[in-house]
Amino acid sequence: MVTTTTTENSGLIHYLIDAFESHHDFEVSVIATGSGRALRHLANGDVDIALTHAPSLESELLASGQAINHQAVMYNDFIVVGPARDPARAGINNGIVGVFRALAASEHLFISRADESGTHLRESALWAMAGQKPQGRWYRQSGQGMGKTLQIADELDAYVLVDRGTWLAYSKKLRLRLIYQGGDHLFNRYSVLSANPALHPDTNQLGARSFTTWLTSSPAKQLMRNFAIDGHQLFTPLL
Amino acid sequence: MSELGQASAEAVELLLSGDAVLWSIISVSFSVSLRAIAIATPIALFAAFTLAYTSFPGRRMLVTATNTLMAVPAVVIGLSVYLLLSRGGPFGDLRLLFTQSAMIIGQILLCLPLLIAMAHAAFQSGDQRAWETALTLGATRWRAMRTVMYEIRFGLLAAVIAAFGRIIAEVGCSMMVGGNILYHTRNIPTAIALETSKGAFSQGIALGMVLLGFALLLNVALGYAQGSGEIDR
Amino acid sequence: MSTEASTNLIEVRDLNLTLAKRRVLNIESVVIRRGEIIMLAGNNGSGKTTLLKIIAGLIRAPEAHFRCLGSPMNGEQAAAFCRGRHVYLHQTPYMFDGSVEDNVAYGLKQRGRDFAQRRIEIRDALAWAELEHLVHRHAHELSTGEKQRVALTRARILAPSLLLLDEITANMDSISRRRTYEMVADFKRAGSTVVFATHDHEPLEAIADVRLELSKGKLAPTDRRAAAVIPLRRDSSIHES
Repeated sequence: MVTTTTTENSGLIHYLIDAFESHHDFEVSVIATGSGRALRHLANGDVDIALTHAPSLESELLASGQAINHQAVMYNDFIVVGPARDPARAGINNGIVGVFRALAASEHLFISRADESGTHLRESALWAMAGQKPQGRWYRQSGQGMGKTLQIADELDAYVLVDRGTWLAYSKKLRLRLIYQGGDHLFNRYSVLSANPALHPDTNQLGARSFTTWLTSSPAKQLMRNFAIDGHQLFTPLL
Repeated sequence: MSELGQASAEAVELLLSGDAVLWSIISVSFSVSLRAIAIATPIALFAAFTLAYTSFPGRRMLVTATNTLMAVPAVVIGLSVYLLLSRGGPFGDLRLLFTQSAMIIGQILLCLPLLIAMAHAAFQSGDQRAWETALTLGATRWRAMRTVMYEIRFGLLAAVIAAFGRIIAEVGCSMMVGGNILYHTRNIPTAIALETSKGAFSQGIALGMVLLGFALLLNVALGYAQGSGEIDR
Repeated sequence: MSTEASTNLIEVRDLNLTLAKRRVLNIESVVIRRGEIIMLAGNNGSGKTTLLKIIAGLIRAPEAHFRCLGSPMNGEQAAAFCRGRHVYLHQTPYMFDGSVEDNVAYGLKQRGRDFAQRRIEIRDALAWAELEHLVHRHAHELSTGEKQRVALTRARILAPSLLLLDEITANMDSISRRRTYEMVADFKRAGSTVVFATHDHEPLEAIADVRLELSKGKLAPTDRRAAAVIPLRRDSSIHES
């Protein structure tokens, strides 16, 4: 199975997998990478199942038949974090578009994942929505995972877009503060898709189907609701 | 195998096309390492000269310490610099972490022991009479020191080349204290590490070729410097 | 007393030097008088090189008492005073990595003379040493005798008040040796004082004015202080009175 680094970093995946393996006769091995690459692995048949949060890429794969059996599983949200005193005056805006416009105008340091991950794809979409093309010395591309990117932002006192799960896991150690949250555009939906057996006959279809079914079952949903850091629930199951 | 071949072909194309990202990475590498060696060299030369030509209590201990520090792995130096420069550390207020300055500091610490040790060896294998001759003909101590350095210049050049070779290719320290940020702190070795971990090989191969080519150049220069140093004896 | 002071280039008193736990020099008093050629005799290990280097300011004798040109000085001051005024030549001379011209010009460069001025002086000096034909040759390619002549020329061009020669004829054949003595005699004619260390009973005695004998760090009783000293040259211009 392949999933994204943010999902793995939160710890949810192993929590769910332990429960799944104790009730089923399957063993799940997990690779974590960015959403874009994760879906490429699925399309190539390197893995049996993918858990990602990149809806547009997921639709593309379904449409081209490179993946099947798409199921939306859970959601959380993205948030904007940054220096506590908010020098770009981003947090006072109404709506994420205003926030990103303020960030671009102030040219205060912003760190991007820049690695085709789900977070990065969302970030790019938000810049586009705000009519901005971020470039220059203030816009830095880490090219690395969410944890590392947060660390860099913390050291350099910069703004960054982060998923709620990773934020909750790291926020205690960081000087950054929540700047903006809420709104449809920051909605972050997680889904599973399976490899297409027609293209890749040697993939484990039984296992993939079994896991997909289990993820949308009541026990799994309860586990997701229970999964919390410091009393904050990280993910909300769908349906 | 064909994937490797394709990646290699793409690599050559990247190099020839003047890809902006590629050349930014190469220029960060050289900019950082050249500045580091430029700062470290005068310090090392002066320290090595002092070790070779003066005696003071604890001198032998200092020589041993320098030789030991040479063996410290790059990651350990990286970790130490990281802890010193991070916001929670003693020098956190300087805000140097994840900047080129942090990389330069790390690389200076990496190459200094090697530079001092090799320069010291060069001074010791040089002729002590050079120093005395310079002094007796009226040179000040500073001029005499420069004269002695000129006389063993090939040995010193070999030291600088060897030290530069070490820092331009190291990844452990640069990765930790630089943060691998594109256009700013991503140099050749850290870029290769990152791209490879993502499974994208063509940029990695292109950068590897640049590094290999440069390593070859350095070794030719080193051979020349060491050879020239021997002829006149 | 005052005549003595003005003819004494340098006096050293209470020179006790220990290097690497070995007592190298143990001299109560030694005086170098202006205008003389002094032969410093002694076997290997007698301390000749150390004594010469102290007078050259290359080795410090922090506890000795010095009087340079009449002024009293301690070890540090004497070393600073002597360095550059008193030129020392090694037994095997060190040639800088450059041409003969570069080597001869070295001392002048330290004094800040400009190049055109230097050129003339260098040519004259090389002519004196019969080295003109080698002016652009790389110094490392010379024979030992030629190197020694370059060393002497390097010194001569600086017109030093004192020249300290450390067994420089030790490895020479008799022809080179004679040539060297002629050059040394010329130094004296030009007003320099020369201390010439040797561990042989060389024909140096023919041109030397005074002989000092060093043995195991001590000056033998035949130093000039004792009445038993016999000047070697009957027509010496310096008289004990």
